[in-house]
Amino acid sequence: MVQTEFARILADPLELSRQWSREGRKVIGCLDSYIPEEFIHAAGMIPLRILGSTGNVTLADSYLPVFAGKLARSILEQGLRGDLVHLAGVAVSNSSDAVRMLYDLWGRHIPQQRAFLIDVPAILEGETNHRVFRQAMLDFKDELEKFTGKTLESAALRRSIAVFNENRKLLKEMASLLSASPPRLSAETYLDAILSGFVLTKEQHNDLLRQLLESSSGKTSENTEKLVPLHVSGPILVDRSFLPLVRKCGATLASEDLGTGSRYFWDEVDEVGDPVEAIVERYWNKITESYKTPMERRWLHLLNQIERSRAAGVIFVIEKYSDEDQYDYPVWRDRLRSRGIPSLLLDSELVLESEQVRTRVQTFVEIVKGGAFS
Amino acid sequence: MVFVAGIDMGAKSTKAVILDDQRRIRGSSFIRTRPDFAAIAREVLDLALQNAGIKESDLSYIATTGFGRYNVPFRDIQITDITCVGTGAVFLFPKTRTVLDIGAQSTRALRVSETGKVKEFRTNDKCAAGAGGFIGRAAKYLEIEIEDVGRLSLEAAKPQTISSVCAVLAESEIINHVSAGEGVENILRGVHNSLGSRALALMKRAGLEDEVTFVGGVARQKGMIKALEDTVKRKVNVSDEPHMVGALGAALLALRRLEKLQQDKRTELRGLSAEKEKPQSSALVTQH
Repeated sequence: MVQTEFARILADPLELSRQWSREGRKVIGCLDSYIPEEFIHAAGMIPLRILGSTGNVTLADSYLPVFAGKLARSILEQGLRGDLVHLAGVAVSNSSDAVRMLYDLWGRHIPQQRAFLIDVPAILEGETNHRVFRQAMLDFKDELEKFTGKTLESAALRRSIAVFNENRKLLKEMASLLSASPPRLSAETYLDAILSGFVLTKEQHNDLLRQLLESSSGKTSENTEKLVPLHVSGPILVDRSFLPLVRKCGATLASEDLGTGSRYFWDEVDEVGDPVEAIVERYWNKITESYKTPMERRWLHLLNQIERSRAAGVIFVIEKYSDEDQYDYPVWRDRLRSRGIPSLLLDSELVLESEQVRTRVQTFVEIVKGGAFS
Repeated sequence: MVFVAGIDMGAKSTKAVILDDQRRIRGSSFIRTRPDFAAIAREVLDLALQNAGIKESDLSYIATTGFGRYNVPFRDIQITDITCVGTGAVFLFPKTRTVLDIGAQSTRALRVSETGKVKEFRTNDKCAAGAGGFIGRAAKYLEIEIEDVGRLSLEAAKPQTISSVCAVLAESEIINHVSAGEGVENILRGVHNSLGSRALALMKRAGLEDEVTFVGGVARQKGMIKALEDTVKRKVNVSDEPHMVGALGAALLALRRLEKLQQDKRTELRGLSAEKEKPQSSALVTQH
């Protein structure tokens, strides 16, 4: 069953990439969502998204303070511990101050691995910033060409764009099954399918997604009748125990605008015209992390997802010490409140399961339902 | 007469309240939480039954709450402590619209409706700096019995400032105050003031309304009540047994749940009897 396959892959997310490396294929670790993976793919390498780990951080504590956040700290921990030794390189953008610091730290403490930096402007609007952004993307392309000794031909780029766009279309189709009434896919399967995509080749992921969509066709996800449909928003959700916890509290995920979810796959690359420029435009226009994309565009994406799923409430999962997302929350909360949609803020450090989280989610579900046993 | 029970299994103590169908408290009990939650829940319920002078078989419904609410095998329903304290506080003080609950490990601020339903809530972080555990650590360092903390704090003439947001660092501040020769009562009041200002921030985020009710084990400390009133600049409601409000709320919700189930059953029975009469009735209609 494809669901079992996703779970098997996620049990050891780096195993496949180790295997690729043993087979002589070059793997580039992407440390955030501004890395144009199509360039890496077209250069004959495999982009692998690194999403940190939930274990203790000890080695990285010497270089990054606690307030850099668990994601950046645990990625550096993985690097220092040698978990990522099989990667040919890592690519970083300045999507946040902490992630940007990883570029310097990698160069200093893991110099045997090539680190690429994409200097993304502070906010993605305005002509000047667009020029800077475009040049940063082109520089990254040039660096990849020097690194591989190959020129990125238009034909290869078009093939990569087609593979990635198919992946995005399949993921969007999966999102529509999740939001259907009744849902045609369980929330747990949805999350596993998305997370698996970060550690599979896009071709492998597309195959599994097609199988999943085919097996879900015409089916209704079990036992969702009495569950309250919720939307989950935030930069990252990798804790697979969270959705079962939400289910135990009487609710389920109906839609999301996660950095590791729809924000990652919602926007496609235009397949007409120059492929390099199309890729640049896609990453310029994509809905993404707080403080890079103008606020109103992010709000519209959030609102569209909620309206699509008819979610009765929103849970914001925000990484502790992530100032960018913490600043957003009061604005989103007030706007949602004015539309009669309640929201809950949960602090995460990649891990969400605890009795405190369970009590908060259960109380929130009780509020959404209008009482403890409505 | 119908009886229900509410059991609140908190981090430090477990409480039980027994109510009758007129919403009168018929018995209660209070013991320390220890490992083997199921046995503790059994013990606290037995004590409350004894106190009420009834048998377990007289109970029609049992609701559990608190962090150990899932560990009571003989429960009928489990409800969060946030929902329960909201219900309990509004039952005791009907004009309550903001509830502050400070227990051993957690602090919660709630905005509630006139029926006690939670409209908005905020909780403290995992760290104990804003909860009763912090006072316990301070008392231990100062070699004061926890029962004496509230009285001593009330005697403070020159409250000291404890500014740190971290319980461990705050302990260093306490050590500095002791080294500087400050009186224990002034340091304890500083601890209470520190908790009061954190609680104010939490209440503001949840929505600070006119009438505030303070519940939870820490509300038994008179010095803490004074510190809170000074911080929020108004009188706050505190019941005689503020630590029992969660269990009371659980019992009230147990009764509400039981009444709803009975009402549903009556509706269902009425539906069935209406169904039986239907053919005859429709036959009459058809004839005309």
